[in-house]
Amino acid sequence: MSILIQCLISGISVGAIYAIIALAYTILFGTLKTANFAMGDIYMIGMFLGFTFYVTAALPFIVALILSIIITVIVLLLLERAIFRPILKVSSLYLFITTIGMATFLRNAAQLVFGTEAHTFPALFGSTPIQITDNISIMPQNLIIIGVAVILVIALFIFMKKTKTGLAMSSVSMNAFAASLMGVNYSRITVITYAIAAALASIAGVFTAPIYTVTTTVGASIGLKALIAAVMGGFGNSAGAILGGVLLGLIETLGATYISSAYKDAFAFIFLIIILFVRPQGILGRKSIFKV
Amino acid sequence: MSTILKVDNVKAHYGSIEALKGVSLEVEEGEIVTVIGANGAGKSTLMKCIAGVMPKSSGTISYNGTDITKMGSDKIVKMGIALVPEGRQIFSELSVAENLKMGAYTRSKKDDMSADYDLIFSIFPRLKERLSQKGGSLSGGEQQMLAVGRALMSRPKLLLIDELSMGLAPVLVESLFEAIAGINKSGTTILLVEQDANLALQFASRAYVIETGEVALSGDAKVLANDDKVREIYLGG
Amino acid sequence: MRDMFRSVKLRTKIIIVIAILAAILVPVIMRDNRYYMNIFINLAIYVILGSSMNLLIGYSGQISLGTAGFYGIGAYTSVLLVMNCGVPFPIALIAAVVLCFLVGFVLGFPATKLNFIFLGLSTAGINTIIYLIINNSQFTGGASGITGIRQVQWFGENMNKLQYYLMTLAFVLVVLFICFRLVNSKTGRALKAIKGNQIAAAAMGINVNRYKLLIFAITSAMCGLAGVLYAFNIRYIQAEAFTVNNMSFKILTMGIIGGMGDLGGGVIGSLIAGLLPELLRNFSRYELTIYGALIVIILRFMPRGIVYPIQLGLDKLELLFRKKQKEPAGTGKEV
Repeated sequence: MSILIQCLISGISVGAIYAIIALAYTILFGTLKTANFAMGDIYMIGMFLGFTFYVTAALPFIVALILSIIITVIVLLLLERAIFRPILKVSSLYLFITTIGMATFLRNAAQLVFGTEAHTFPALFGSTPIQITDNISIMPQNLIIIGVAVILVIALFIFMKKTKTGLAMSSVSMNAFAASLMGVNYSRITVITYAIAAALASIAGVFTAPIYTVTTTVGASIGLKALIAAVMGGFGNSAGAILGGVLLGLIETLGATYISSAYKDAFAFIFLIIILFVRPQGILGRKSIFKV
Repeated sequence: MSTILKVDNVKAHYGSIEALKGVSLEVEEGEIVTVIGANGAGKSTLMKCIAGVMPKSSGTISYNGTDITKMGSDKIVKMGIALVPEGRQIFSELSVAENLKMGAYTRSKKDDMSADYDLIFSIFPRLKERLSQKGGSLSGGEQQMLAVGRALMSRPKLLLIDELSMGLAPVLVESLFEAIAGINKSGTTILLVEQDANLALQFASRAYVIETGEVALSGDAKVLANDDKVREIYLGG
Repeated sequence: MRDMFRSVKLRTKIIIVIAILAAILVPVIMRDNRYYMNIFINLAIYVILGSSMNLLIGYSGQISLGTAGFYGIGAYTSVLLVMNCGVPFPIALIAAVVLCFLVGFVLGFPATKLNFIFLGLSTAGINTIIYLIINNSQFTGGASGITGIRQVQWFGENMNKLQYYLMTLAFVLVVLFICFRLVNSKTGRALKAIKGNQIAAAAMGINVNRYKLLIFAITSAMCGLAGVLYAFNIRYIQAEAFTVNNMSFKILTMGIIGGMGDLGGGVIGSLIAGLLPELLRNFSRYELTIYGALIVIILRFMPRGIVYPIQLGLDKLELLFRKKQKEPAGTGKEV
């Protein structure tokens, strides 16, 4: 029984990470109808920036966090303007493939720059697990991550519902044409959406740095799984991204513990394929999403 | 009375297909002008061009003397032109209230919108009843009212309407047209694209007939309503 | 059939003949250099892989991140049949290719109805599952794979590199011919005319889904064939060669570089992508970085691929040539 609860705790901890990055994917798709394969490696960039500022430059954590967010946002916005936007005009399939290429490029270029060693990032509140009972514990860092995820979700929700820009983003995601008739500037919304996605990814990167040692390959697997989580939950739906993320974390952890740890990576895909068969629009997705 | 809108020899393309082959028209301040024509003649394309959501291949469009040909829709809405698009195009997951809020997107936050809401609810009381309902759950007629109300929220001086009557019951359409006439009386100029030529020619003062991307006829609405050719093709004999 | 051949420009026919001659003669001349022979064999295999992606993306507007999975199925199936079941190589090859076709068909059935995002994710998933099975199963040798694969025999003697290359080249030509037939079939040409617009196609009564499914299955079979040829050349196989991030991605790059929707482009793209690792012998660490950068650069600046500017250049040359023929010398008119 305690194994099960420990599993659930681990699953939710991992799920929270997937959820944040899945949110990044899903607002990009929901608002701008673009699928960007590279958010996992943007997450990695955020993590490395955090490491550079907090560990190497020994800046205070808050400063390191803010700098990481700002620079990651700038990087993604530059990529968007210079590369993604012009390619999107040609074809959205080409854009998707471009982001696949970009992901590989970022990952490997980072490896050339930063090397292959793993760096350690000190845990923010120490590395002693918090004991809940004799057999159940949780790392303080995981608790922080869950907390951060909750804060981010609430902040995003307030932003989308209560601010003019947030409402504009919602309207663009529902009907971009009608939104432009309201005077919404699509280019501006694009920039804001990408900025939010980059911010989410980099925040996730900095806060998870203590858990996953800082390596350039860290974004590859997480990025793909977060994308799967977003799709499973209903691509474009924020609640779906969170649900998908947490669900995926649970499925993976439970599967690895009770079925097979060697096939851990497969569980995400197996569940994705099942969902795509049964309910292609995702758990919370709207039926209207395109077929092909 | 001054010319509020001047469309001068505008051409527009969808890829290699020429949708507008050189359309010219004028609207005077305070008028109701209607554009009629068959499906696919280019009426909606024309509206989109004026609203700034469709690029023009050549020609100019000026609003109160200012050239708006290359302007984006955000600037055009700020200048006082609003389009009620074909097919309503309301935000289905947003509430009626939020849809109306989006209509006021270009207005400053400090603006007092209560007068605008009062006006809209007086014209379309049903919207007030359904304020918190999701746009997608409204009936066709209510969605049309919402689309018009939404456009009014930006306080347009020129209101463009594309296919008001599409898919709606005749009684409803009549009342919508009367509402439009009322809006016009309070000072808003109306340019109306309409399938139902009969109704359009009743309410408008002037009309243009568009055929395959060009203006085929234009003139006084009453005169055109009695024109043989118009009667045969558009008014059912 | 004859119409298809006639529709190919004379210029292209000349290029094809020259290419085939070079593809035969150069390796024959260099047949004693084992290093180069391996390069030629690998290039031929890459042409098969790249053409499959070209077909999939360029002609049917789909995507697959799972090509390495079929590459692996082809390799392991043929090897296991030959080594564990004593099946002769030709039959093992056919069996492996047919298996890949069937698996591709079955998986493609639901998959091709999805849009490209879901398709990309699902194929990546299928590849991952295949990889994990290969990596963790006993019968595939687990992570260490299978070594000491028996050589292919030709009339009782082990094939030398040149013979193996010529065999591979023969398969390349067959595969390219099949692609040519597909692309120039009634359905293929119609699809090209409407540029893959689903709705227009449906309106014209073209069974788009069937065509897409067929291409998906054929692409899978092509990758499987490449896998067989790869396995019996290098004569040891292990799971690491069949990953999504490494191999499927490389195969994707091969298709993109040449330009999609152009068979010649697919060949050129594969050759370039295949030559890169050789040129980067000492810089293999840069390999994936360069592949990634190439995809981004090509799609950004040459979305129709490298072949397009080459074609334009050849067009201009041809125009020049024709003008000189028509006008008497000395008129001095510029093109």
